[in-house]
Amino acid sequence: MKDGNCDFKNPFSLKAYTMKKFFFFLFAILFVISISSFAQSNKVTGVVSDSSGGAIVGASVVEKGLPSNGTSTNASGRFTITLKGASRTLLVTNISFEPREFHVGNATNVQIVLKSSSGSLADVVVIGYGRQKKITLTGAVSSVSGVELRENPTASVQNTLAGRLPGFFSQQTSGRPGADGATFYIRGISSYNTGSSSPLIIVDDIEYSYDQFSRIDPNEIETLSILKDASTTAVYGVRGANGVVVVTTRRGKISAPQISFRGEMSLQQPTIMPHFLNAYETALLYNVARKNDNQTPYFSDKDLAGYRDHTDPYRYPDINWREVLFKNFSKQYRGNFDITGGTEKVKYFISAGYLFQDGMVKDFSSRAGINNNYYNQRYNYRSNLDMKVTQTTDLRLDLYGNISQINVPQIGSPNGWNDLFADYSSFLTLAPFAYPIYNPDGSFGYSKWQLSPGTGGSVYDVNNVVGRLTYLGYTRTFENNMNLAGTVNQRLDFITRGLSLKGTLSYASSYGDPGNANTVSMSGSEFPSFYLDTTTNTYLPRSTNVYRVRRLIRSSSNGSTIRNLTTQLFLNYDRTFGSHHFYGLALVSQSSVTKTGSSAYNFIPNNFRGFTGRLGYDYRQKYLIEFNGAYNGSDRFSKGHRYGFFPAGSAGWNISEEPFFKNNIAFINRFKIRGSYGLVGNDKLGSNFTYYYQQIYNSGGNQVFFGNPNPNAASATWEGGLGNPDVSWEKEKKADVAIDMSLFKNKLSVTVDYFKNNRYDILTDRSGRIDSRFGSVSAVFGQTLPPVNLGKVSNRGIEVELNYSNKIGKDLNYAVKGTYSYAKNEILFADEPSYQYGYQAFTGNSINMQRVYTWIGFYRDSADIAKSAKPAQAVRPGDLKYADLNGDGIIDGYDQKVQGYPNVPNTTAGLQLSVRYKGFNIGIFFQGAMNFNVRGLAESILAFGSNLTSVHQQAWTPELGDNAKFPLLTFLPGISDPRGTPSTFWLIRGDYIRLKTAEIGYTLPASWVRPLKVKSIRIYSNGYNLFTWTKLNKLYQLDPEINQGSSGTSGTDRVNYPPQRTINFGLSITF
Amino acid sequence: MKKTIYLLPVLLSIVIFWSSCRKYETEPKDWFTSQLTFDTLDKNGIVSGYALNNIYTYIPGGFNRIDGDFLDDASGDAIPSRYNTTVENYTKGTVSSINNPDPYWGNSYYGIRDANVYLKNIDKVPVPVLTKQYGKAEARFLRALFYWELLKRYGGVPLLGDTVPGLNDNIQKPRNSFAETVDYIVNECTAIKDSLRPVALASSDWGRATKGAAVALKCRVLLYAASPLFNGGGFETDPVKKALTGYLTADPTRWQKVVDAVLEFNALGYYGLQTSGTPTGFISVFINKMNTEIIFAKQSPNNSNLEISQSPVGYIISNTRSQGLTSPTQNFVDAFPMTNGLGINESGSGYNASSPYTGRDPRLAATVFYNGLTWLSRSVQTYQGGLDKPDNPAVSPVETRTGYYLRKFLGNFSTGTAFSSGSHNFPIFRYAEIILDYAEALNELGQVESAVTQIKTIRARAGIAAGTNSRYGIKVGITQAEMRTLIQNERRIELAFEEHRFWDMRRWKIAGQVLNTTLNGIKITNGTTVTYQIVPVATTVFQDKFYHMPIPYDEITKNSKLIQNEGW
Repeated sequence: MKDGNCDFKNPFSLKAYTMKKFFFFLFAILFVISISSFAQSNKVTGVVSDSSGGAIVGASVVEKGLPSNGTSTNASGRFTITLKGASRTLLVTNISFEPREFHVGNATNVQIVLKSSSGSLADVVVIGYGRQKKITLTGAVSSVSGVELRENPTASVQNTLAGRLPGFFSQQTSGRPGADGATFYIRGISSYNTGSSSPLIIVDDIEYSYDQFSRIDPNEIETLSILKDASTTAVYGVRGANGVVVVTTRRGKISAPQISFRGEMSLQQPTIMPHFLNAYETALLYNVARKNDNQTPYFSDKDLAGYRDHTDPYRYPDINWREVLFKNFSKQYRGNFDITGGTEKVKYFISAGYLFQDGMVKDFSSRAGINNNYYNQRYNYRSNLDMKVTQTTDLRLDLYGNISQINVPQIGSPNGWNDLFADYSSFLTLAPFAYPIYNPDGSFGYSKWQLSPGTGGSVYDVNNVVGRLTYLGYTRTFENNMNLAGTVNQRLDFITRGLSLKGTLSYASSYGDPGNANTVSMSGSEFPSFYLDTTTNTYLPRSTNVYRVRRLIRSSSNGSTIRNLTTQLFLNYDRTFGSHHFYGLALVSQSSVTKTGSSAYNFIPNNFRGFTGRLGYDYRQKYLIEFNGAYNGSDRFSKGHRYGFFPAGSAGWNISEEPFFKNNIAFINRFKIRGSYGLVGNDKLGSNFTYYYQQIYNSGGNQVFFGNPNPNAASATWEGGLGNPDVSWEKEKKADVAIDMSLFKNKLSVTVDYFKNNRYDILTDRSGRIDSRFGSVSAVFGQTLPPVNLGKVSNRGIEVELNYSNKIGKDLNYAVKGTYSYAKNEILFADEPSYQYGYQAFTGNSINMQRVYTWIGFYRDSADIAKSAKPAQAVRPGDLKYADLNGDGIIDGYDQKVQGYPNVPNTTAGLQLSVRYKGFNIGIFFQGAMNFNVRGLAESILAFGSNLTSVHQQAWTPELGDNAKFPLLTFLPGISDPRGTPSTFWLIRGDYIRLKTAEIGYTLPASWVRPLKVKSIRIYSNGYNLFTWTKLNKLYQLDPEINQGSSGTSGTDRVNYPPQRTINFGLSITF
Repeated sequence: MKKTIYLLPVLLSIVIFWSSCRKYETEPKDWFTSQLTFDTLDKNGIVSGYALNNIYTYIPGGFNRIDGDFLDDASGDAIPSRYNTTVENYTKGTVSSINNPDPYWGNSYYGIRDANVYLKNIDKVPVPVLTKQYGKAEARFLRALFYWELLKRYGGVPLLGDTVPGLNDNIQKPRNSFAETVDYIVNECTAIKDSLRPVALASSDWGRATKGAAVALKCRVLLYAASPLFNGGGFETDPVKKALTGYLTADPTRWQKVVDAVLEFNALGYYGLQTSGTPTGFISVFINKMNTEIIFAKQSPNNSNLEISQSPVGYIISNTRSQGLTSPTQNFVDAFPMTNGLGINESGSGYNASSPYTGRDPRLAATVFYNGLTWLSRSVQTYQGGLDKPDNPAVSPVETRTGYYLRKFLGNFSTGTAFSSGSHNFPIFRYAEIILDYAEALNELGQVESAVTQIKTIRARAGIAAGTNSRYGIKVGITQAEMRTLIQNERRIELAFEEHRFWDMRRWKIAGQVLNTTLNGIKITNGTTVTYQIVPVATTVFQDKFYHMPIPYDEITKNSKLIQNEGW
């Protein structure tokens, strides 16, 4: 066998062994399939396109009268079919187009143009529990097709959405493999409760967790929609207020089996990684700071010369840690394989996906025989089956899931952070002159400097970083997500036409709750390193008792499981009587989520139950009206307070259908105004409020001590926060008005939405002990008050979506798509005390704005200090000067004002340009965000807390004066310390524009690929986060999307694992 | 066939909905509730005992309490070795209602509620009578102690009595007057003292409040109430505000109440000064949990945290550099007399400025690390460039700013090479204080020689030589005013770093003089001869309004009936 395999010379120079196996497998399948299609008699090839010439992908092409003989079009709209019957007619169908019968006659190569089923707004969009034609849609929905998502090589699916969907706001705070999914919001944030602004995610009618969502393989996605207004979210009732993401997955169509393979290889590098100064430059600034603090220079001229001239790299090391620790590029591999097709009876879509995302740390640990780099390995699988059981009964059976493995090295960073980037950015841990990596004899280096490091204390005396990466091991997290969903759909036309009954049962099991993961770790403890004693010129061990590398210790944690059982029973009705179209939906649903490892869930199932209804009517698609409502509830509330009714109404008017419009305004093809209003709820109330109605006593051991001579640790029990039996969910009144237009023969389409959401009944702790920003009850009460539904937030904004597509000549198609979203929230009521100075109130400002000092310059000299308002601490020239807002001559907490912007952008926009010429396609996509603040703290900016960057070279000096970019360098904490005194100097705007994705692709001409017995081959290259322009870099060398804590009161401590720039090369083959 | 299949979804759903109608464990069953904590069947009272224990957690700790520093770092006796720590707000004059490092407002009221919850519910639990009696009395004692913490900071505060406020109760309560608050605490102590455990505690109960603690609290509250600041001496011009922070008029007989309380205390017949121990009685008081001098203390687990946080920075024990967080001042060191009991500036004291630590009150060496004192088998080196004052942040980020470190409360580690776990209970009441209270009250009542007798016992234990006239350096014919100064100084050095000086300076109304000053350190040059140079290290600011703390800003904004103290 082995020898036989070796004879097989792979014509492609990809990874030979896996490819061999793969092709072997493929040929086996092909062989079986091709038996049925060998009787070649009348082969017809063709292209299916829309009226503007754009290829229609996935259109079903079936021979009339022979439903079993069918195929579907490939990525470039092409198909090949062998006619067997006598009709010589093809039935061509696709979801957004009118079906067409095409008589082939004797032709062998045909061009079939499908007409949009009603203008360009005719696309069908996915909404909650159903689909709707865009023309009759009265709600606010934005969608994107799976094809578009696949142009983006990022590992987490939500990272593909920024800027593409109006109303979608996101921030990708990390690029760590397995944790790089952006946090996202629909129409911004509407509640100041932490953890309660994330949208509901529904995949094929089943709720997904945030983590499940980020692990979806984009290859499985057919469409993705976000539901934004009351009319579309009311069906989700108590869970719809944050908006809903609805995903449908790909399903089989009647066609011959079509096998596709995509293989991708990407190179990744950080979008931004701070460039730190070298040893000489750093030592110079160190001496400057010493001088500023009235101390003698630490580095002598001889030392400085040593660092500058690199004469003795052991005594005067100058290490570029970025080069030492990190690769220039890390790799990512992705492969998909899917089979789709079907007959009248059975349709199938089966796919398997693989992703491997490697980390950016250089390989040190192979010396210890382990792999401790960051990585993310994921297998996705899905089998979607549709069966026609009887003439009126359809059965759907979906089996899907993923298996993933995420690896993180054990770093042993100072302060308990297990984060290499904390080490990298910390001056006290990895100054450029910290230590030589290796000593002349090859042993790990260390230094006296690090044994008694700078100003940090012994906590920063951590061993040689390369040694730690070699020997300290890893933590590996395993996750196994398995889902099974079955649906039976029964048409009840025998009762009345258009009626059908559908039942769905789904079970999802996630082993390895991300909050309580299943991990295995191999941890090492110690290894020897030696430092040069400069006085005796001998090498001494860092730790006198460590002579060898200790063995790795394995430990594991079992993690916990999340189980989610969902049942739904639908009654659907959809019928047209002449000009009158009625449709309706009645739904009973229940879901029960059990988490084992979380104290918030405490193994008790979290049950939701609800009744949902929809009733719609339109007259000739001209006058549209729809009612949605849900009566549902959650058992996290006390009896009698569990259920709520959430109604919404919407209406639309297709003015362009009116004769007066149609006959007079020719260049507008479609003009619709629509509006909706309704009430929706949000029961994601944050983990602070679990079993909100109960009062729990807390208990703990070792709280107090009694006894002699050894004190006995005694247990204590204490009253917890009071319960509130009346506690209920947050509610939101959503209003939305919009215009949908298409102009110039449907080449340009415009959608403009204006919305206003009023969130109320936001749970608020009036004692301020949970969120110290709010609450007006005195501490004399002596206890945490229960959450009470009383907060109010308004959120309003506007969204614009523009699409323009046209063609030049016969083959050149181009399209421009632009989106703009603005969503600004304002806290209307949060039970704040009445402040002496109004500017200290959070009420009236946006959620998560911070209370900070106003920076107005630098203290110039002692005369300036004498005449200016001063803080408590000693102030020196070069310190940051703040505005004395209350005019009392003292800079203190009263001068802190709520100002700036929140930590989440309130404006985001995207611009997509795409061009298609014959087999070529090029697309570029820009995304930007505005009006948000970033604040850096210790290791991210503080001089000598962080390693020094060029901005520290422009620190204040009398000569620089107000041109300085940074306050006086010092070791003393004071008014200019970014940690203790937040100010507008540190809190700056992070506005950015990104070349988010770009793609270039080429589909090989059919004549080239035919000899290879392949339907189509496409080669392409795309990229993610290619270029970034940001305002942030005037101070910070950070990615602008780095977040700063959910409550908005903190800032970012250090460089995170930076988001990655990805350059991807791919090959897609369809058989 | 067809008809049955369409029923499938219906049937399936019905089964599932039905099965989920029966519910067990709809709420967590492993959580404590009020019923479980105060269980009507629990004769052992285990969990209700835990509830009592919890009240003890609200007692303030003392060691490194203010963000890592001692409160005494704000008393002029020391400064924090680290720059710009929050405790310096008190001496830099930058305390405000939003910037107070030690409000202890919320904590006190959380503790008070905890005690009231216990008192309200304990009667449901069928524990033995004596257990219940002790439990209730301890809860009431601790509640009184929390009111005391509020009283010394703010003056009169809202008194809640036994109420446990509920959601619908009005807690917009006005402040009670100073007099009412004093009376409340004193009456509570009187009411419960006989219900508390007797003074001789079993080892396993060590740390619980006894009758001694209740009477000691009474002594202290009465002492403060009789002191100049509160006894009609408040600087407030507004009589409403004055009544909140003190008595409106002076009444010297309030000193008699102190004397009576001390006599009541002494009648317990149990407590005494530690006169022997390793290495001395004075040191052993703080490093042995159970002794007859400690009346009540905040209990802590045994460890060596305090040794690491306070030892001079040159001591590195198993790779951990000691932190030397406290820098006692020269002003404080100068307050210690000579072994003969005479102040260093008095004639005949024998003080030699070029050998300043020779022949001093033994309490100096037990309280402060000075250059040359032996610690872990080597001499402390606080001279410039010495191991404990290297003047180099690359070696040690923090070092003494005054040339001294804090020695008090640390274990007996003059010899040896490492610290071991030891007892570190912060004394809240100890017998030496009762004696000093007594001496002060007697002196104020004009019984100067009786006061002298009391101070002699303190000095005798401290190791001061009795002298030929057995007056321990106290001059014959000392006047009341001189004696007042002497008692104040004795209190400063005997009770140093036990959170007395900060408040004493206020109640004596001397803070205006002693805290508007320059604090000095010592610069020692180690050469062929060691030279000592006194250098200024900090200046302190004190304004009249600092005599009382400002009520936290949040509380004023949240409760419109609270009247802020004058000046804030």
